[in-house]
Amino acid sequence: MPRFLAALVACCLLEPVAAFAQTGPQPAAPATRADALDAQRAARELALGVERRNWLERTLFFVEDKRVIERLNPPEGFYPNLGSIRIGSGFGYGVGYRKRPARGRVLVDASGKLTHRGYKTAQTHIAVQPMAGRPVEFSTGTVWYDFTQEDFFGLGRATSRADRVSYRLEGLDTFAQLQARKAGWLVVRGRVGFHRMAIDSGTDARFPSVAETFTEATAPGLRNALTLAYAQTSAGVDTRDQVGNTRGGGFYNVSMGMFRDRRGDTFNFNRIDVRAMHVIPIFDKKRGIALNAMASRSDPVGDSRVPFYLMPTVGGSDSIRGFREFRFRDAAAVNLNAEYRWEAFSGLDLALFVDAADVGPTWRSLVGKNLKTSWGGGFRFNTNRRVFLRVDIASSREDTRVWVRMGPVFRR
Amino acid sequence: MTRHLHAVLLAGLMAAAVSHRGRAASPAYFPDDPLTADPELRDAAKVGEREISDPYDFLENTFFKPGDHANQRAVNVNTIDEVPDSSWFTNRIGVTPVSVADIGRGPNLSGPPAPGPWTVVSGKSDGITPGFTVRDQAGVLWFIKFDPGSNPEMATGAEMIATKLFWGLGYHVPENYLAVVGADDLVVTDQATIRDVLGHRRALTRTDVTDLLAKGARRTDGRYRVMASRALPGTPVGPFKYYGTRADDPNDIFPHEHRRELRGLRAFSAWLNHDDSRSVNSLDTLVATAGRTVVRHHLIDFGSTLGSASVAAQKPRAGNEYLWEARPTLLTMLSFGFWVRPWIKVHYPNYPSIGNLEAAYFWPERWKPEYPNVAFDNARGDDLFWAARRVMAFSDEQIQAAVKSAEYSNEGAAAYMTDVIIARRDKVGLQWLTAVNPLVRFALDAEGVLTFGNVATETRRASAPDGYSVAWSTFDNTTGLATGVGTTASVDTERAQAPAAVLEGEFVEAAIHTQHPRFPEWRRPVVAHFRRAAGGWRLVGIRRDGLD
Repeated sequence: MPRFLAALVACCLLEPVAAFAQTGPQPAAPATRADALDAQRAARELALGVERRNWLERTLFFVEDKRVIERLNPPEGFYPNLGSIRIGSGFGYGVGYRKRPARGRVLVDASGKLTHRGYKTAQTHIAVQPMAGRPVEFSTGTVWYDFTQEDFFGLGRATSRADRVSYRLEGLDTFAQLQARKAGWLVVRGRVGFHRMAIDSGTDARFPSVAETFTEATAPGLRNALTLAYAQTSAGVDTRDQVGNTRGGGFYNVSMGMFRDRRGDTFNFNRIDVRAMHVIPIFDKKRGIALNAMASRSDPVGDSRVPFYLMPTVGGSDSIRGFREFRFRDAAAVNLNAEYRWEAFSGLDLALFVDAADVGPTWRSLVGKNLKTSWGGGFRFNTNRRVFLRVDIASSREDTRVWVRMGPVFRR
Repeated sequence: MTRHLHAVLLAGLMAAAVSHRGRAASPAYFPDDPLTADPELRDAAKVGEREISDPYDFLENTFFKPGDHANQRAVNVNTIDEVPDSSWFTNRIGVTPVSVADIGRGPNLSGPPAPGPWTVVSGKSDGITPGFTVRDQAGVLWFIKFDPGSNPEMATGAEMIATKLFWGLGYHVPENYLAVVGADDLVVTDQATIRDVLGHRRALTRTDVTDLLAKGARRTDGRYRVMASRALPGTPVGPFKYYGTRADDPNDIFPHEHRRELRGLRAFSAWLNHDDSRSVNSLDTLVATAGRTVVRHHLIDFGSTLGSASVAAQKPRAGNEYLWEARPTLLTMLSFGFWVRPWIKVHYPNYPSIGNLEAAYFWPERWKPEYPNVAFDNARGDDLFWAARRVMAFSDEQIQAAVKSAEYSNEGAAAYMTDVIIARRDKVGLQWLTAVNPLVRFALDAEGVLTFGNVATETRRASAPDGYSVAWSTFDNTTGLATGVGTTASVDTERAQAPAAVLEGEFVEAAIHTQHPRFPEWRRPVVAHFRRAAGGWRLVGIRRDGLD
């Protein structure tokens, strides 16, 4: 049937019956099923449209098509440098640039960032991987930072929230590092460098500056700018199934470091950090119990002292979560966490946790003491490979804290 | 009277699609009923290409419930409740003779890639599965996909089997072949390109080829088993959606969520664990046929079927729960995880080439794709009965032939795969052949003897019923009214004699109820209409009542 005739028939067929009653006789019904179907298609042919997307689909399509997410972290070129600089720094904005010469074996990266609380950082580093065809990475670089509103409550476990002061820490760390991974699970690392640091008044107007409340005796390093030469080595066993969203396996690491004052013998000290983290999976890893233990100690050499801002701390989103970040600080610290996690659906895990931690002049001084505790629950929004948003609500005798973090717990 | 009027309205659903706008009255049955092919006569040459956002498809179907959710009969079935051949579907298994060899061959009519090196046209470094587009020595375009290193033979094997079975079921699918290729067989020319992470197209290098090959499972001889998928004939214009119609296609008059072959795909997908049965795994192409251009609708990419999730073994959640589902999520949250999803405890045998597939826990009714699909949601008992008949039409030997095409190197894995597909087939039959009155193959001979079959008992999914009762009527094709004749006859077998009075008209109606103590829903009648024809009576209408 010619198209125009079909269209004509279709138009007639689709007119309301009432209209036919007014304007003329009813059209003939189609003689066959095939005619009836074709009449409907002929009518549709006269009113064809184009496929359109609504605003949400357009937006998502744009994000996909233009690779917006990939551009936030491109393998090469300029990239937005977003996120916090360190705990308590606030959200930061910056820009970076990276290049991967030598067919991708070398990474050259430079970036800078400023947060809304005035924290600043700039860094450059070069990494080469693999070295000599082996899973060995060499990297060297420089990091400059200016932490404008660091918190300090005094040394020891008997400090009060009311003792909170603010200080500013500015530093420049220049380092070289070699890291090797053996058999996929043994990780060995060595790092040497120079670290220049200086203390100043904090910019948080709500609290007094550190020098107004503390002295060199109660806060070693308060009045000194110092330059440390340091060497650190660590060995760890890493059996985690996913580093960014561990559902099974663990990480056990011992790190030792020597820090020597380049301007005298005032701040020579050694440091040891021991960490064990393990996730026991239950039911195809849909549930799990995460256990985390950390112990740190900084020991002065001879009559030297340890700068208070380089002493181990507890408190915060990766430690005892019912207390502020850096709430307790001393020469030795222990931190214990137990977390029960269960998957609500593939994009969300929930958690219940208890934390216990304490600080003291030595590890021995912590034995037999009642540890400070907190407890709470949280949400971990994740993909299979990583937790991209963590919200923890924790309570202690002292405080109730809500933590929002872009990453998994126990990263420190 | 109401029932008979209703019968008229439903007997010609294709006609109803026309008549709802109002026009001169149409008969219940046209002379060409039942149609065996949908005459898609309109030229669709102006259909444009469209792409679908994968995340949007998830969000829309999970949270916004698109399309028409309605308990209504499929609108593209013919008057005997079957799907006519169309640009969507070609009747094969259960309708036309399909041999074991046919299933083993499937859609592969053109032959595998021509011998000799392949010229790489482009590389695919992102997406779910890495791969290449190549041209063989004959200039034919092929899409090349690999198995994941953790599961050699898994994705390619699953795709081979699913391709053969979905072809047998009646869908348009690509020609897929297994091949073995070495790095030296891939020729990189100056014209080859690849998109980097940011989507920029650049020249493809030998290093890119090496990097892409490194993501695939390597054989002991250093070569790679690959899936070579022949480019579909015609011009691609993007995927189809499982709801609505394509605005620029004049032939696309039936809302997709009410197409039987898309509703029935739920049963087929459950059988073969095609949890990725989503728009993004479909493709429409413009093809020339009989002097016009039509849109042909294909199912593509069966890498995530059976026990495979393309890049890894299938997750236990797949087929058991949507990506996001409120009830189990809340139950798990509120019970602090002590409520355990039952599928978590399912055990899967350790066959890396199979992945995670089993038949013991599987139950067709509770099977789910990755996220809600309105066509699947709309599937009713008659749609799933239609689908289950096709699933049950596959013989063990045909399934073996499909599995054989996967060329598993582990005979135990091949036997396991065959056994699981057979067991899942039987469960599909048990679930959906028994959910409605399972009567089929109605015939009325010249002497007025009605015969029919009970497909549930024939396939041993149910025991023999206690009996059948047949209500006879004459049927007026113009008014659509049926007039009862005589009393309801009870019979013990699938055979009944029509009263002489009912055979005097042009049309005969037989409404058959089945009595079975275990299946009370079989009491809902199947209504068959016969039209007088040369030498006897011709079946023109089948309707399964009581599903609305």
